[in-house]
Amino acid sequence: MSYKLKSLRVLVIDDNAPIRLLVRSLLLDLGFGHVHAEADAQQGWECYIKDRPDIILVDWRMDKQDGIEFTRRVRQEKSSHNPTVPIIIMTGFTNKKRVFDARDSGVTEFLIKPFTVQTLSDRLTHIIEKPRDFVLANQYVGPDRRRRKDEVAPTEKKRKADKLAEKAAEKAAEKTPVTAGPQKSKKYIDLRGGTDNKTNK
Amino acid sequence: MSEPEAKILKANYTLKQKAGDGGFSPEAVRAAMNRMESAVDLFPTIASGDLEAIEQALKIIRTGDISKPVMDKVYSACIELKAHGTMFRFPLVTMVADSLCVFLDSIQNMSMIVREIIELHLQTLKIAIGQGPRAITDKDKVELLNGLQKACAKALDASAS
Repeated sequence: MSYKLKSLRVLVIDDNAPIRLLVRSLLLDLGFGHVHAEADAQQGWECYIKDRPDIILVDWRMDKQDGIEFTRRVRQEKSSHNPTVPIIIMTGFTNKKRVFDARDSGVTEFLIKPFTVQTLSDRLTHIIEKPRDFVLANQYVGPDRRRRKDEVAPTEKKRKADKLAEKAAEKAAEKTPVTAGPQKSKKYIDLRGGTDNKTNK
Repeated sequence: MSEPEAKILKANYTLKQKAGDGGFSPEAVRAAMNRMESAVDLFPTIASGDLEAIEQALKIIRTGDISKPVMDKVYSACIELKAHGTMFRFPLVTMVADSLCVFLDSIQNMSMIVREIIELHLQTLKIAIGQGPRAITDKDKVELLNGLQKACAKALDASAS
């Protein structure tokens, strides 16, 4: 079983034509049904109003209006029909100040260049699986900048689940006669399989 | 009573409801990876915009304007080249662009010597892109980078004194 993405609409905005078309093609390969690609923030805005995308990917560095200004417009302008739409910003900049600037403009996720198909799909998975609360304040409009507890501590959760699984397996081993070896390992695998499947999602 | 300063909207699970479970299909991910692999040929076209941006900035610098907005244009183009060089397997482009970024980060006083260093890097970038990802030997790469680093070090010394 995998995602059914045919009904999802994605908007890509990048003034570098080959990158724009490449990202569009990658999204279509990944299964998204409708991917619109626009060459600048103004065209992107018009497409956003008309096409009502579910996800937006925008490049930071663009002439005229950059990705940060576009994000602010989507989040704050009165005519924006869906200010909470997830926005992924694509950028080669990784220094702290720039990242904070982008975060404060209300972007949902960063796709740091150089990116791979894996990092692109990870960011999209995060948006689908772990949507964030949305803050509307005088100073800030955008996703809650505090990550939820279950987002920051998945390893601890997994560790606890693994410990429980190990304990259960040990108990089962104590109860099970030595001759029933395969049964013991089957139970162990079943329990661990549950947690592994979860992480593989 | 005054109005609350912030309103919190609870997370919206519409995308999850539409997409369902299971993540991206392995076949879809493989198809996307194959496309990425075959996109290497696009790099010269992708890089041309950034090279053009550096050339335009150089034209302004030659008139004597070495202001922050002009230098920011060079820096941004370099950051893009650095990232795209890695994405499209042109490691020399990444290294040369990184060399220029490090130089621009380090320079204290903007003087016309900066123009020469940018020109030097621009020419090297053009060669690195024009020759293709594997055309330049490792030995030549090392020599090129050493040469650039020496030039940068001299320029930094000159601007500091």
